[in-house]
Amino acid sequence: MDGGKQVSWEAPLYEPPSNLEEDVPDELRNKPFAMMHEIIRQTVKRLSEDTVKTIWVSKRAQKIMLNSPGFNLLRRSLLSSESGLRELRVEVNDLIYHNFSLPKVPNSRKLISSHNLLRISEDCDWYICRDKRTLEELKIDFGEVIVLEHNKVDLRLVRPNPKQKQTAVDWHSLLESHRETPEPLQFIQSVWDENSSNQEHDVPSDLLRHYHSTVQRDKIGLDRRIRQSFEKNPPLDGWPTTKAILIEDKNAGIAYGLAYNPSQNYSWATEGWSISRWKIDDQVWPEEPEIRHIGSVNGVPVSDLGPIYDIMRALRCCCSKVNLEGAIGSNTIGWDLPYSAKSRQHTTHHSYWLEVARALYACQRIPVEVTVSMTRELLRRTGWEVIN
Amino acid sequence: MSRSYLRLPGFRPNLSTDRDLEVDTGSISARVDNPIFEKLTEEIAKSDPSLQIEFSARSLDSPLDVFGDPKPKIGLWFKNGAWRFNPNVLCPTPGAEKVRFSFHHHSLPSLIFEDVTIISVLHSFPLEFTESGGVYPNPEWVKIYRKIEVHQPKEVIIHSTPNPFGFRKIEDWTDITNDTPSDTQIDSLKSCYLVRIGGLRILPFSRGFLPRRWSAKRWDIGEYIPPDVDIFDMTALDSLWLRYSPNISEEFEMEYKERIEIYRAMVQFCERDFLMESDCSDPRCHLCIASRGFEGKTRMLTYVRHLQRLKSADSDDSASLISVIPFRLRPVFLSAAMIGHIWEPAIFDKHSYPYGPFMDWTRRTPRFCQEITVPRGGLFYCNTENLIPVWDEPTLMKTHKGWTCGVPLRMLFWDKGSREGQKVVVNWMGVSK
Repeated sequence: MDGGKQVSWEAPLYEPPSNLEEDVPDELRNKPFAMMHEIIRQTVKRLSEDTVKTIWVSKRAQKIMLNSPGFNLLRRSLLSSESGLRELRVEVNDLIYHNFSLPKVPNSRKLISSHNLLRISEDCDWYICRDKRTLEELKIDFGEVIVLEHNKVDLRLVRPNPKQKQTAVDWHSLLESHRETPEPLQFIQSVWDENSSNQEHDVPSDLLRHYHSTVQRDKIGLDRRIRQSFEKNPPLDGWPTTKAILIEDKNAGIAYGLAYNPSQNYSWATEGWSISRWKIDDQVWPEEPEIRHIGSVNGVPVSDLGPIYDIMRALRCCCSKVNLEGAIGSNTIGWDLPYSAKSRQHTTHHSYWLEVARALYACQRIPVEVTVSMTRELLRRTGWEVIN
Repeated sequence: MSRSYLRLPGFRPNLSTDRDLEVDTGSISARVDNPIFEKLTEEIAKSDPSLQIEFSARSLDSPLDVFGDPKPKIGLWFKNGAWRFNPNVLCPTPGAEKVRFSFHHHSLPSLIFEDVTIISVLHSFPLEFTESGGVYPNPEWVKIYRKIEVHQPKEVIIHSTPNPFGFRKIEDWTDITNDTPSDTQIDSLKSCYLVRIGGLRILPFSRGFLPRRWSAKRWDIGEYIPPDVDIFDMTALDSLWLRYSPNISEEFEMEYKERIEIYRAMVQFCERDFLMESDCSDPRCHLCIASRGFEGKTRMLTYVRHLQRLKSADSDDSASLISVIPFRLRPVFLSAAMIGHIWEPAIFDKHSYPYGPFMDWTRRTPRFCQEITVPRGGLFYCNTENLIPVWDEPTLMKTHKGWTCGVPLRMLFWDKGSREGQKVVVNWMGVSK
């Protein structure tokens, strides 16, 4: 059963004892992801080491899960009816990766041994707890605990006393600040300047495709973006007839765009991607652009698609604005915020925190202003202009 | 915080495709009918709900209208998924007008435009004739222009001795605008009328310029070259040429081959004439066509090569022959095809150099030397520059090299010394003023 063999759930392999249903804590009822995280915490509860092997956590968590009262609920929530145990393991691993209590370190997960609280806002009494304490332990330490779950994101909110508050840090201290682009134009200009040694002379401008998505929401995933936001064929009549969105520096009469060379492997990120720089004159069509290959962004060599997504976002930020209510109320990942190409929900990514804001928004006990402020801050840091 | 971005929409800013846009004269709404403008509008609307697009049209031919007023730049409006404009502002009279539709949005780096030829068509003539030969202004035209003045020469015109340029002046006119049609009845086939519109437009108008046997047919079936098409437009607009030239061949089926012969003969003699020297040596002789010299003989040599190519074409196939006639020679061909009457000039008059050999060759003078006057100014070859005949009282002088051999239907004239000033549109229907 454990050898990667596909097993249908239709023929039940395991049913937990029915009398265990009653043992699910009220806070976790109908919250499968919160329940799964609780299982993971219980798994690592007694470990005193700094790190733990992911595979070990995974196997132990699965074992607990199989015996947990909420197993059927978990199964239905995590997997489709056609899926087998292999998919279940993938889901469990994914949840382990995104557990607040288990930051990733090479080859293993780090256990947060100290107590760790995140301040949502100065005006909010409730703090987010992100350490490995179980629900039971939190109740002992803080009294009341609110467990929120929204779109695969679960939170535990506690109300610390003044002494406990001293150890708290602001929520945004977790964000990957090097992916923030509060000033899109300056960001693109810095990328242009940073790559001055990568001036391309041999790449014909006619060959390049330009990024031209003007809608607020762009498709997640590079393949979709390539399909929908770049021309499929070379421009019919060369570079003057390309389709592009350019970010404009009106004072300098200069505009920048993002281009890729389809003859290179664009998905490797380190190849094929360039910044184009256009001279703009109100009377005539722009001149043929200068091209610089993108080798590094913010001093970091480009090794994945994150910086490319950031450049795309910076371009889109200039041509559309975000409706704040729409951003909070929507259930999709929404406006392009920094996220991992491999996983959408990484706790250091802004997209994860937008889901956190949505989870808080759905909670009656958290003031709406707090959520609005958090969302606004997230959008501002990533370059979006908010219209309400 | 305001951000700025630009959009390169995937096509060149100049969307011109030599397109014609036919509108009814007097109509106040017509579609621009450019799918790219509409697609761009739709795309911009996605990111700019307020849709502040500046879309305008302006005339390209001249900054002034026929009345000397600056031509307006008009705005356009978007309705039912299409851009619309008011053609009556740009092209209030029948004719062709080059117009630039320009589209701008703050997100575009510069204007996106399309140059279009608006052909404003009024399917009628300014004058209507009664069965008995009386004349009265067409009520449709009156509706558009408010007032049309009609003048008639006091005497019946006999063009027996035209001057070397093939026109004579009619000194005395009678205003018959307010006369009843029956009052105006004169020898209709030799009459001509002066039509004034807005006080400035002059439309010499005659029924007599066509051979007698065609006249009746022409009035019955409508024009084969409508008066709202400038003959000179045909030199540049393939579409007009293709539209009307087959009609010519149909209408003149019986005469066609003969006219082709005339044309080919003309070509032959034009070619020969070009290679000959003129006797007139006065470089400032404003009467002499030849002595003006063909500035840029190479350009004329190009014509000659065209002509040679034409001669080598298979003459049996009239359609193919028409198609190989070069742009600049099309008015010549049209005139030759339409007008059977070619004035026979004084062959030995050194000033009338281009006419002589042509008529000399035909030797059919009794037939061709009928009561038709080649109108003032005659027919010019278009150069690369605009054709600008100059009104130089008492005669209209040619300022352009070329030869006179036909009857243009409509010409534009500027006041001498004031090219940008008053402009008069003259529709020549066969008889000179």
